[in-house]
Amino acid sequence: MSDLKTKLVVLGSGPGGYAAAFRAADLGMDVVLVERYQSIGGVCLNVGCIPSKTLLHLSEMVHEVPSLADHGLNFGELKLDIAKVRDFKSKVVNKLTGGLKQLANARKVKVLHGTGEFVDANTLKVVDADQKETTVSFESCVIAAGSRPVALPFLPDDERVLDSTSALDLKRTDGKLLIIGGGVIGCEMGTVYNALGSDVCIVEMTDQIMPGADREIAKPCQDMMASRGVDFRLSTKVTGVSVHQNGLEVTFEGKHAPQEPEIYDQILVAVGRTPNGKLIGAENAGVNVTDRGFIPVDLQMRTNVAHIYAIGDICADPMLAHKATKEGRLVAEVIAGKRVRFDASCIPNVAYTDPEVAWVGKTKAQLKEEGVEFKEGVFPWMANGRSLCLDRTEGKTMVLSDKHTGQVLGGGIVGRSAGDLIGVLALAIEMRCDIEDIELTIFPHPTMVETIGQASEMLLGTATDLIAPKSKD
Amino acid sequence: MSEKSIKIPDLGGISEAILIEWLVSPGDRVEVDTPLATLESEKATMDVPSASAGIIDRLVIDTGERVSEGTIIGYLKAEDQTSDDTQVVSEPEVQTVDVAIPDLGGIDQASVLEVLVEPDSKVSIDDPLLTLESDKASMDVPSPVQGKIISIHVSVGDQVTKGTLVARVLSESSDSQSREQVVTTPVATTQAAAPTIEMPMPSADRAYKVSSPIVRRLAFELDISLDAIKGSGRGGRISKADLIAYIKSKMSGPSAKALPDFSQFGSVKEQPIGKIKKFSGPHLQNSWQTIPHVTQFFEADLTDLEAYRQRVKGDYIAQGTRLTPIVFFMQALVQMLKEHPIFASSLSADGTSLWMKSYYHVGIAVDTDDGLVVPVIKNVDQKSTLELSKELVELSQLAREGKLKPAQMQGGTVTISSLGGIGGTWFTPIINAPEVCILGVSKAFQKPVYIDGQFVPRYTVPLSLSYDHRVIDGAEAARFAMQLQSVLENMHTTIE
Repeated sequence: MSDLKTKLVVLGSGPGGYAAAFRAADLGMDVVLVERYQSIGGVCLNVGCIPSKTLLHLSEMVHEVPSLADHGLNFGELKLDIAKVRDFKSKVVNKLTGGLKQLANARKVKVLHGTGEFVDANTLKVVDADQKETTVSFESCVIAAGSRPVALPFLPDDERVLDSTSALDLKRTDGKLLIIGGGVIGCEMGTVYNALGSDVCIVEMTDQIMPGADREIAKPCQDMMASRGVDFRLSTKVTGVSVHQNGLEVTFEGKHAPQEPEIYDQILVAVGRTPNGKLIGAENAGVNVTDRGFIPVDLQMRTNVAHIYAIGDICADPMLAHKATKEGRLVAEVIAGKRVRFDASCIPNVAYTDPEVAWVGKTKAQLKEEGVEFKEGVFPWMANGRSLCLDRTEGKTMVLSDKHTGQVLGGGIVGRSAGDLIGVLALAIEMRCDIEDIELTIFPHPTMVETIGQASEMLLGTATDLIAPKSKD
Repeated sequence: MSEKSIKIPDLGGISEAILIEWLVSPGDRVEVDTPLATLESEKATMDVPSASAGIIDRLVIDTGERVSEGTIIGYLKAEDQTSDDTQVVSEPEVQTVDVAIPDLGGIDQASVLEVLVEPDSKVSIDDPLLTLESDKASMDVPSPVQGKIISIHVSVGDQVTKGTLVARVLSESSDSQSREQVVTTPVATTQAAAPTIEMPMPSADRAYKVSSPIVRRLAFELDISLDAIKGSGRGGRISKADLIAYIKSKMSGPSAKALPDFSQFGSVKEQPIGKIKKFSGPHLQNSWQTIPHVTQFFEADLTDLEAYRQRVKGDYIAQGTRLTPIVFFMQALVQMLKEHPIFASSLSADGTSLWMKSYYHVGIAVDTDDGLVVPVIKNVDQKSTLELSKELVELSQLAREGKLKPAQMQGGTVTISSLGGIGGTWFTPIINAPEVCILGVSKAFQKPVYIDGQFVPRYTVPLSLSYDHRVIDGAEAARFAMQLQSVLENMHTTIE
């Protein structure tokens, strides 16, 4: 047992935690960063964003390359070497986590591996893999302990039942795979397993995939995946799974439920993530935790205990790395005494499917629910030159603006690189752009980002690349 | 037990009174008719008796606050039910909901800047009912329920605190909420028990909607309400340059200079400046600093006009109004504006052109308890002396009650500032920009005037005409003054 004393301890080294630790160190604090796994970077780097995006890139190529045969480039048949695929994924992850380690060293941030738990409001106990205990007494603490996949209680404890973490191991990429949950993670993993040879079925309780997005933005992605053999069962849920010799027998209920139970080789559960607020002994420090496991904070990320803060997945939805990173840097500045607060107006969402689906700000559904009168402009990529050059015309760009003020309120994009393009709309919303500001901006031609300008032209009735709908007022 | 509100009863013809003393405290047991509080009005002092027996739960009005019939001053737990259930009992489905000022996020007191609804207005949940302004920010008070406004209990300028009754709404919502729940909060749902700085929701600033991230961040860091800044961009967008310019103006302004510690010289007490002065101060300063003022002093002999007024004033009283000399000044001034259009102009912002006005709206500076306000009487040239008298009386009354609407204070062509009721001779009125002149009227007095070889008393009024020297030459102003004098002196012959 050993003891440490520090100005700041950060519990969790994911995108929020390491950002908080590094920024705090840059602001002159001495920082201890606690991480329960061997490498820092958290879910995002190790078992989330980065490995999944590596696999998604390869998956996209699986479909892209053969499609070129139609245009005179025939590369022959695909030879899949799954070991090399895993290898590439690991290399990318290691490169990034290794980089983080160097950055931590360069900043003299002390990384302490082990599982942290509060002893009281100024002490954290960290137990490492060898059960060695370290007590860290701190002046301030940032809880950045993240979230974990939700497990479904009725599923058997079986190695063939995967979650988003174990699915990245690619233990088996053939056979029949049932994905429970048609959200972003379910669709992304469905894309990967479909490309690598599995027979994928996605079952989703609501009547659309990616329920947070507007239907017209999500649907083209569903159509493309379906054309590649993914079977979608919307408005349907799984009611039971039993283990059989020849696989997992699944019973369904709902609109597209089959009459008879079906046998699957693997099941991937992707029904969401749950915050880890109840796993860190928060009560010992007097920190409030909600029933769901969130730790509520104010706009300065401060919990009910004034010197303890929480950021990222553990404090509030949406559970996204880029939100956590922003909060991490912010909280370091707050602790350093700066008068700042979280005031971002929008947090973009991206599904790295093929095509990608991205949305930011308010969706149409949200605006309707809030009773905000708005206008929409939609530009189909069918009429965009660059998309035609790429032979990928299923995309669509939608912008939404306040009917009365013209201020840009939100937007959604489906199509190749939609996740990159959505950044433009996020900037527009933060800058309080009016729709005319976008329309007056010159976008490069021929590009796909051009479609954001074109969608605003559709909204204003000034488009020339299509017949714009007549502006009603 | 059920919770009941303690309301001010009918005050017997008195519209408003001040709660000067609380006679009970939370926890006290009271019977029917136990005196709860003492009110004082201009006419009398009276006690508020309890309408029910029970235990005082909480008091929501501080001593010194104004109340009127129906104002909720507190709540008690009535002993009219056998159940011992201490929970707040919800009222029936269609119910009257009292909307009170919510927690203002660390701000103790705010004043009502605007009332956005009227009795009978329909409101939905979160519709803004009022706009409040404190020294930190302005914010809207949202409706916690859907329904119809029955009555409004605050007016523009009122000081409010958490718990002040704002309005009574006939709720249409079927899931009725208890009174405890209808106190909504405009503050983000934060659970922090010990935040070190106040954090009203960013959207408390209306201007937040038209500023970029760095502007928002700097404004918060420096504790500046963006609403105080005029954006130079399209649609009022506030740029970083606008924010910096605002900060610079604050730094260089007289307010930025530190005051000496007066307590070293004697007893001193800080008192907030009135809200009207807070608004009019910067406007006056701007006029004073940007307009090169010249003030022409002159006099008019009102002996005949005053004789006329004395003769006819009974007729006006019979018609329920009063004929004051100000009406004559309005009429004479408008006649002069028609003959000298440049006095009814405004100078363009770049100083290269004049906006010539063909409408004759006259602002009258009215002294009220809260400060100076300027109601505007429209189309003076198209109204009779009687109509003008009535309108002047009405607007002055509204002004004194603080009930003028913004539209009733806008659009003046020229302004008259009268100190005639007080005394003193000439003064130098400040032009009400973007107008280009202002007439100051002082108290008339009997002046010995040498006429036909002897001194005779003439009823004489000192007049002061301040004008914008960029627009009006001295000679023009002098001619204008002399003609105005002549018009006033001959008015008794033309007015009949």
